Parts: sequence; C-alpha cells; structure tokens
Amino acid sequence: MILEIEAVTKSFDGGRRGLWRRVPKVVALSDVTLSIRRGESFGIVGESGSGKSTLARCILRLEEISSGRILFEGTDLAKLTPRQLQRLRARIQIVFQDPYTSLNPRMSVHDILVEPMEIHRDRLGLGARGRTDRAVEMLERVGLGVQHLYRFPHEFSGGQRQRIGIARALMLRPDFLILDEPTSALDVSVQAQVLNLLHELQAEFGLTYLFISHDLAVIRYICDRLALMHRGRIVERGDAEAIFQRPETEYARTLLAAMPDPDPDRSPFL
Amino acid sequence: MALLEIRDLHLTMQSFQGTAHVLNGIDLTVGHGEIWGLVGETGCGKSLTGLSVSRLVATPPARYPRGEIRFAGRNLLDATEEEMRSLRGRRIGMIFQDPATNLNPAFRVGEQLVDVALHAARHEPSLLGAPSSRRALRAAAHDLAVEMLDRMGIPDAAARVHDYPHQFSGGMRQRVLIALALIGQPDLLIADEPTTALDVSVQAQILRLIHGIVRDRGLAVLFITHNLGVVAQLCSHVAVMYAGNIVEAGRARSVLKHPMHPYTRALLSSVPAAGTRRGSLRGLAGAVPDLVHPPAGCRFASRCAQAEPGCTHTIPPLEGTSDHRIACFVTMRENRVLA
Amino acid sequence: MSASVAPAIAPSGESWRRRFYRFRQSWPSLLGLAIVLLMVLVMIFGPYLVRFPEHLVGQVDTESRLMAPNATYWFGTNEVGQDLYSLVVMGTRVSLLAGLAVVVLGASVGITLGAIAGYFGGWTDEVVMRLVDLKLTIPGLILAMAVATALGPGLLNMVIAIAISWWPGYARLARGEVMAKKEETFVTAARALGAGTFRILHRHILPNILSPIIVKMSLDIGFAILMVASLGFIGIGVRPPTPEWGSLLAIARNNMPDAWWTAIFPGITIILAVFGFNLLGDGLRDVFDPKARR
Repeated sequence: MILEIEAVTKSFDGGRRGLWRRVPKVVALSDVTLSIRRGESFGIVGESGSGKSTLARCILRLEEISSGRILFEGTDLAKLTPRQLQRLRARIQIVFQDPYTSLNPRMSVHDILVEPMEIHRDRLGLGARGRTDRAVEMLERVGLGVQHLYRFPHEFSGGQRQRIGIARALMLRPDFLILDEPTSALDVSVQAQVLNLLHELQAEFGLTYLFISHDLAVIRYICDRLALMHRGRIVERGDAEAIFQRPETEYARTLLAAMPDPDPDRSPFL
Repeated sequence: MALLEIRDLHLTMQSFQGTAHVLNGIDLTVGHGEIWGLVGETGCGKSLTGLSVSRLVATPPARYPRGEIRFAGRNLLDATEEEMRSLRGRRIGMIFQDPATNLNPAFRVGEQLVDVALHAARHEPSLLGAPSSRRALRAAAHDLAVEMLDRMGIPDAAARVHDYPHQFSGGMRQRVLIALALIGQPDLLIADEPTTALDVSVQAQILRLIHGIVRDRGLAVLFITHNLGVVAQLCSHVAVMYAGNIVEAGRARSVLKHPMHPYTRALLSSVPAAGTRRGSLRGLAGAVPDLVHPPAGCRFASRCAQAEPGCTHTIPPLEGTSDHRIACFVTMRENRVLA
Repeated sequence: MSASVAPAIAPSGESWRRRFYRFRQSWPSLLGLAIVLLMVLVMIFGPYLVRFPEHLVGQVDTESRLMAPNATYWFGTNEVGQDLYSLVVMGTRVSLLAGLAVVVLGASVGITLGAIAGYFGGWTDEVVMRLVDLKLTIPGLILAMAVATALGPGLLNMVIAIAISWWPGYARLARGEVMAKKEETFVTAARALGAGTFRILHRHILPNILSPIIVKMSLDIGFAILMVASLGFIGIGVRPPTPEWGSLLAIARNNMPDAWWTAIFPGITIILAVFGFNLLGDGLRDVFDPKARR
C-alpha cells in the first residue's frame, strides 16, 4: 500500500459573513477510507460536489483534515515536520483539470518546468544548465519539443498545455500522481492522446495514479480499481470492471445508466 | 419543404490575424420531428452555425458572403432585426450551455417566462387564448409559465415560479431555460451544449425531457454538442463538422454505426468504450488548420491517414444518399469500386 | 467556439503585438503617449533647451521685468526679469521627478502592505485595512500639508509627505488582486510543489497583478504632479530658486491680470502634464484590461 486513507472527515467552517451571522459548517468528506496499491491506477468517480477534489487537496496537504489519518508509505501526513513535508511534495504531485488556469501566464515553459527543481535545489544538486537539460528531456517525453521551451502558455492549445502540466508534475520524479479530471476540458481526440501518454508514463516512471473524474468511460479505460463518491461519502468501491458489470448500490446503477453510450442501439429512447 | 434549410452557408470573421473562413459551405436540412446532432471539436464552427440560424452572430466582425438559411421558406440572411426578434422566442427557441449566465438574476423566473410568453403572444395571439383584458392576458401567461415549469418536471411549479434563478440548482436552472425556450411553442429549438455543464444523471433527465417534447410536438431540434454519446442517445440525425465543413451527415444510426469519413472514424475511435484495451485508444495527431489561410482542398487532408495528392486540390462535395452523405474523395471512390 | 477565430479576451495571455495594436487604434492614447514622451524629453534635455541658465540660480534682471512674450523671452518674464520659458522648462524636472517619486514610493509601500494583507488574510488583513480606512478619513492634501510643514521645506520632504497620503489606494488595489489571484490553479500548483510564500508572491502572484497597478500608476502620476504643484502654490514644498510649476503660479498671482503670461504658461504646462498622463493611463487600461472600457 502506498497510500492509506483512514476514516477521513473534512468539514469547512462556514466562517463569518457580515458581523454576526455564521455560515453553517459544510461537511465535504465524511468517513472516507481507501487504500491504494503501489503502481496501480485508482479511480475516484463522482458528480460535482461529491468531495473528490477536496480529497485530492487533503492528500496534498493543501487542506488540513478534520479527523482521521492519511498515511503515505506508512507515515502519517499530519505528523510531518515542515522539512519532511517539503520532501513529500516532490513525491506526490498533481495534474489539474483546467489547462488554461493551471499554468502561470507570465512564465515561459522553461520557467514553469525548471521551477520545481529550483524549489528542491538542495536535494537535486543540479545547476542551471542541468535543470534546463532535464526540462527539455521531459518536454520531449510528453510530446513537445525544444522549440517550445521559451514560449508562453497562451501560445499553446489546450492539449499541449495539459502536456506541459504533466511535465511539470513529473519534473521531480514523483511516485504518486493525482490526476484531477485531467482530460475533461479537452476534445475527445486530444483526450485520447493524453490518456495514452499517461498510460505510457505510468509504466516508464513507475507511477501510482489517483485518477479523479466524472467520466465513467475514461475511468473504466484507465483504472484498475475505483471508488464511487457521493456527497462526501464512498458509496461503492472495488475492482473497476466488476463495478461496471455488477454495480451493487442503487447510486452506482443510476450513474451507469445515465452514462451516454456512443452506440445508438443502446439509446434509452428507442 | 423542410422547416430549416441551410444552403452553401459561408461565414467569414474579421479577426486580428486577418479574415478567417469559419464556415465554408454548410448544407443542412432539418425537418419537423427531427433531432439533428451537430458534432465536432472546438473551433469547428458548430456553435456559429447554430447562432447563425438565430442571427445572433454580430456583423461585423462576421460576414455572410454566400449561402442562405431558409426557415419555413424565408431566407433569414435577408431578414431585418425586427423580423428576427419576432422569430426568436416565438418560432425559434434557444438554449445555451451555461444555465447560470442566461437567466437574469434580478427577476423571478416566473416574470421572465411571462415576458417571453407575452412577447410570443403578440405574434401568435392563439398562444394565450383570447383574454378580454390586459390583466387576463397576464394571468393566462402566468398560467402558461406554471404549466411549462410543471412539464419540465420542476416539482411544485406553482410555488417555484416566484423564485429567483439562484434558488435553483444547475439542473433545475437548465430546465427553466428549456421552459423559456419552449414557452412560445417554437417550431425549431437550437440547443448549444445544453448539458455539458451538468452532471451525467441530470444530463440524462434533460435529454429525456427534450426527447419527450419532440415526440409529442413534432419540434425540430438542432442539438450542438461535442459528446458523441449524447448524439447516439438522443439524435435521429447527425452532422459531423470539421474546420467549417460538414464532412459526414445522415441518420444517426447509419453514421455512428458505419462511419465512413476518416475524421468521423477517428473521432469515434477516440472515445473509450467497454473493453477498449489500455493504450489502444487512437486519438488524432496534428492540429486543426489555420482558418485565416485554410489549405486548398479537403481541410482534413493534413491529418488524414488515407489522404492522396488529389485531396489537397479541390474541396470534396458532400455526396451520397439522403440517409448518409460524406465529403471524401477517397472513400467515395473505394465504395464505388466495392459496389 | 474557436480559440483561433473569435479572439477570446485573456488580458494576461495576450501577445504584445495585439496589445499594441489596440493601443495604436485609439488616438487619445497616442496623444497621451506623445505628451508624456515630450515631457520626458524636456526633462532629460532641459539644460540644453534653457535660454537663460543664470536665471535658474536666482540671478535677476530688473531691466527686463514683466515683459510680454517676445522673440527673446518666449514665455515673457516675471517680476524680477527672469525668463519664464527657462523656468518652466527646468520646472519639468522637478515636477515630473517628484510626481514619479511620489507614485513609486506610494506604490511600493502600498503594494507590499496590500499584498501581505491579501495573501495572509486574518488579523494581518484587519490591521492593514483599518490603517487604510484611518488614512482615508483624512483628506490627502491636508495630510500632505501637515506632514510637509512638520518635516520642513525641500523636495524630498515634500515627496515623502505626499507619498504618505498616497499608499492606501495601492494597498487596496493590491489586496483585492492578490486575494483573487491566490485562488488560481497555478498558485495551488506552486504550493503543491513546495514553493514558499515569498516565491509564490514574487513569482506567481505579483507578475500577474502588475497590469492594473501600472495603469493606476500612470493615471496617478498626473495627480501627483498636480499635488506637488498645489503644495508649491500654497508655499510649502520646493523653495525658490528651484523652479517649480506650482510656485511659479503662486508668484504670478501678484501680477495678474496685467502680466497674464506669468500664470498662463506654467498653468498650461500643468494641465498638459496631467492630461497627458491621464490619456496614457486610460490607453494602458484599454490595453491591459479591455473589459473595463466604457
């Protein structure tokens, strides 16, 4: 097990609105338990507001959990010293949904890719030259080229930007990659290419994927196991193919039935 | 005569880089009771086709150098703005992608529905019966608003007409928008990605709703989407667009089950299905051509695996039977050989 | 819709060519730019343009006092016979530099405080923003007068005095922009990579909030010049013989209405400077933030 999530609950304090009125507490995750094996692709499926992105933020420690534990290779994330947390950041990375907002518009591709190595300069021991070389190597690996190095994000298409986002996440050679709806903003032909790239990279870099999506077809294509989330809870989990073929809960059945099938013979209206 | 006939429609758009040839000879015929799916990827011109029918593309920067859009026989490209206003909401209903931005947040949804109903009734008095006074007319419009919300499956419609848009969830707001589009009892509904922002379970409900209305009322629908699954479920016909051209069109079953154009085939093989082996998804390499300097001949040629030198000389015409037409020289020739 | 066709407006992601194109399309922006460039040139080459350098160090020439504009004295002379043209030209240096210094100083302090308040929020935010509110209850000119009087005369003291009343606007602007930008995904990405607070503010947030700040600064330079002139006019600030537009105007009061030129030329120059920077600022706003137009 590379990641174990034990009975995690996360609630957001409403905070104050105006002088006196308190906004009620929102429970984003309640009693979530999961474990993810090294090298697998684990899918989290859910509709908007199901808590799937909050879970990702909690794993990255961008958000503190209210109760429960998250263990990465057996270490409790909440107990890390700032130094250890910094080291962990190099090992758990994320690719975001929107390729248009996830890259800093004022930074060139070079600066975007080199930044992770600058942040972790102490442990990498690479000079400026070495960092650039490594950035170019990764850029080529994700299907772009050295000629793109000094361009800015607005000069790229959505698919290309997503490749840059993937390259940035892989710069520090992480073990664990969270993919938060990485293809939902892309056209299907581009989505197919990005999914294939992710598949190749997983084998090549020995990555474990936590793949978050609302697209059941994509999850089925990429994931070995999955968990279905609904309103902050896990309603069903297990082997992906098994869930697709024999959903156990009512919610899973509803969701599967609602998934639009590109085969006209399976239209519910015929 | 079909309800909507688009013939050789060309649209250019003045942009910073120059004149972009955005629509390049669109031919499309939509009859009563037909749901046409207009599919294609970002920038293929599907939304602009829909907006052109309702004449909502600003001119300039846009220009229509050639072609016509005949709605019930009338060429809409010659219609005055006045004339278009009487058609929109009344005979042509529209739904757009984002339900949040297309309702006025400052007015109750009931008021917005009543406004559209009154506007439509000016051009079609039978819509609200023959009320004796302005007050009775308003009351009739209000009743119609409640009835529409009810038909859209909004629970407790009589009370909810008094709510403001923000009091509705995303899916419910989309239903309100559909009610708004349909309250004038239009003949044609243009729906531009109406379910893209919604969860799949809500999407399924909306599709069922549209399907039911078409079945009951013989409405014609132009359903613009990038989701082939939605097309397969809902549409009777489909037109696949690429870079401003329709490359394949016909009955949805025929096109989706036996796609012939290389682009349609690539598009369909990009969608993962049950049993697709990981890493075997095909996708499509390359990029959409520059529309300011479009290539001569077939616009798909640069990304096409079966392109021949001849493909880059002339634009292939959309040929075939009314059930299934494609615009591809190579496929047409090979099919003739086989036949 | 097509990204390549309908140009989606992405203020920070646009090419400079397109931005300049938009700037070039409006003649007021170009006029503003021309006026500002002219002022800057006069500031730089002032010593070479001056016709009577000795008048700038206090030398008087009673023979030729209060002469109307003529071929020798282009803008006429003042009551001690100094060439007004020379005084106005050299006044450009003082006014422009003072205006610029006020804005740069005010902006640096304001942006630093505002960015810290916006990024950290909580009580830091409370303290800074209450300070801003407090400042905003006192009219700028009054505060500047008070501080200038307390610090004593001199160019530097005047700049400090005005800057003190100038930072809150920048603090507010920077705070709002930072609060909006810190929620952007690329900032989250940087945090996930382990970037520290300084790096996030300096590499990711500040470069992305610069546009509105530059716009505000260019608009403000005009007002700062006006403020410098106002303080000069009421006699606090730069002391003669250093030529300064506001004080030239103040002296001219005694000679009105007969020696109209003593007031008209410094007056027009002030108007021109304020006008130029405002046009430029509006043009820059169109370039950086096309949505705010009209």
